[in-house]
Amino acid sequence: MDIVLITIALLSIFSAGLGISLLLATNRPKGGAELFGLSFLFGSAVVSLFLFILGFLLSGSVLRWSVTFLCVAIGMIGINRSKPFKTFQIWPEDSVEKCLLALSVFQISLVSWLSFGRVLGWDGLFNFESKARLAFLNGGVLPMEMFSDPSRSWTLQSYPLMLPLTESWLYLWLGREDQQLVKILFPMFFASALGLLNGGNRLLGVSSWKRLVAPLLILTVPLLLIGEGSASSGYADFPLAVVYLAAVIYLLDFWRNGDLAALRLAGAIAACGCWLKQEGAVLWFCVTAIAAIFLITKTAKRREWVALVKASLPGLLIVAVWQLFVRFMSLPEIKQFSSVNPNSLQNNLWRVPVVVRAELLQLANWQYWGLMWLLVAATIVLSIWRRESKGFFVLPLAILLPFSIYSSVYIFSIWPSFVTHLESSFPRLLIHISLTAVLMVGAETPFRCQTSNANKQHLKKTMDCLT
Amino acid sequence: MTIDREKKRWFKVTAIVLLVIGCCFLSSCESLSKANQHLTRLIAQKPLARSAGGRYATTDTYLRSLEIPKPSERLLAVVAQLPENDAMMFIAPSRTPEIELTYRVIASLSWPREVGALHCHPGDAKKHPPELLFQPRREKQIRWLLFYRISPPAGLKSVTEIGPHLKLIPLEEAKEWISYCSP
Repeated sequence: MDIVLITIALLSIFSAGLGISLLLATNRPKGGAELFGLSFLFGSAVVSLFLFILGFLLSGSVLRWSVTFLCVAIGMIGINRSKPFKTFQIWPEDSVEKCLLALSVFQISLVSWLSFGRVLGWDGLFNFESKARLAFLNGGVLPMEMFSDPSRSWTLQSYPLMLPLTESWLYLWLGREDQQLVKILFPMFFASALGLLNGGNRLLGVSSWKRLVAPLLILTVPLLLIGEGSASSGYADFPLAVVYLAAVIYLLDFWRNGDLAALRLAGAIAACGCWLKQEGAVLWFCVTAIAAIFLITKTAKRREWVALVKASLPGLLIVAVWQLFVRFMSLPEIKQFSSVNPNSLQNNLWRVPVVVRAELLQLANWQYWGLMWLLVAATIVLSIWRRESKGFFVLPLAILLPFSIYSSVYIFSIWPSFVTHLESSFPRLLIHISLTAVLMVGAETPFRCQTSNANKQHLKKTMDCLT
Repeated sequence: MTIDREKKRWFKVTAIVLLVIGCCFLSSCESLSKANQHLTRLIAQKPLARSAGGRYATTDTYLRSLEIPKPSERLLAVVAQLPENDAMMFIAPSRTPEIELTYRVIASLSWPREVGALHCHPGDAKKHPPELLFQPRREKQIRWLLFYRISPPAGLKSVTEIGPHLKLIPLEEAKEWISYCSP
């Protein structure tokens, strides 16, 4: 029975996500795997937003059925508007795609095994699951008392609620809290990452066997699979990495093809990041800034600037509304950094070499990253050297921009030991950009591969659709 | 026709792979578990604790220090008997990561009852005075004390034992919190 109930909860998430994906980009060709990933991300965001907003009016089974109805309705409208399944290739066509499918099945099984075999990490339990439990006990609505309880300040009450409310959605359908079954969400995020990586590879025109490089690279990065912040830990860091990967892929699509629907999609996904974790706002800013850089370099028309403003509105709205809620509820601010101004910069400038050294040590920690960051550095140098593919600068930029922001914040840390602060949080911040880095390394691997017939056909189909 | 056969073949291969992985996942094979532990320690710097499974898989693991079976359910059963508006004070000897974790799990499971935290640091009072780390709201009356790995002051009645290391005691008269640090 549990399996049926969990399946209903997940299907409603997918239904809402599918509807939103199809409504936002009706004409864009997408593979089944890519659509799966996109649907899960949008679905989680939509379900949690519905629970949060409708929770002010409804609770209990009325809330659950109302949200389910809305999810199904959105899905049906999306499918009705774009009739997606006629054009989708669901089953793999060539041997590379079959290998990719087998590899994905293996990886998802591995992450499921790790997730179910290990407990939720500290943040996974106290920041997310415990709030999901409270919401479930209160009929799906987070009790307002929780936000004003000073003895519960360690649950970081001002954190955005996408993950806890998505977890509570499973609890609402299950009819009980279950710290083991709730972990099913995390292999789903991992599967979404694989689907989106596949979509990114297609978009970049990565040919034949090279498409296996990105998913294989994930297997060599321990921190993406196990430990705090990983795909199996119950933290929001890996889901945020998936969200950022998706946003960058559609940003890249916009950069290469000038497709405004892709920009819209990138903006909407980046907005989901703002609802997932506070750092999501930083990544949303990066996505918007990169899109603006593109428009400046191509001396864009007014119409395109208007499209950028529209694309950035959902993120801005989520950040603004959540900040209003935080202020209204007088939630304690999580203050970890001093204010950024020339004075504090001057006072803390001596920290720069210490921070750089500590960060280099973190990047070189093979028990966290394997050789990933070395490969990333080599790939960035290589891509700048070659400068051959249109729009390839988006990926290095999408890694370097958030990396610079994340790296520099420790100069302003107010922890007694800023190095301890860095060591405890920097690896998790790097997770946010790691999947984008994996996509870039996979796409720029300097192997010469012959483009398979199926791939050629797919590229032709893509070009036809675009023209 | 050929495509159909090809599809079926790949479907079978995928099903077999899934089945094998599923068997590994479900098996409680000890050597597999040992190999997993060894490999995990080798590749991951800070792996999370192993889960025993169940509805309270994580909180049960984090409450292992209570040394009782099914600690989350036991705690929930005891706390459920207390009025929802009553607050509690968790009193522990020091502020170690293990004690911090135990406190947070207990506070988390005790909702809607608010739980404060007092760390006593016995025997080192000059250097480390008792520390009141979290406090419930003023409007919530603290009516219960939870003594963790510390002996309650003599003379307190109706002690409910939640295992050998955690005791729940009703607060009869308001005193300075520090006074509860000396048995």
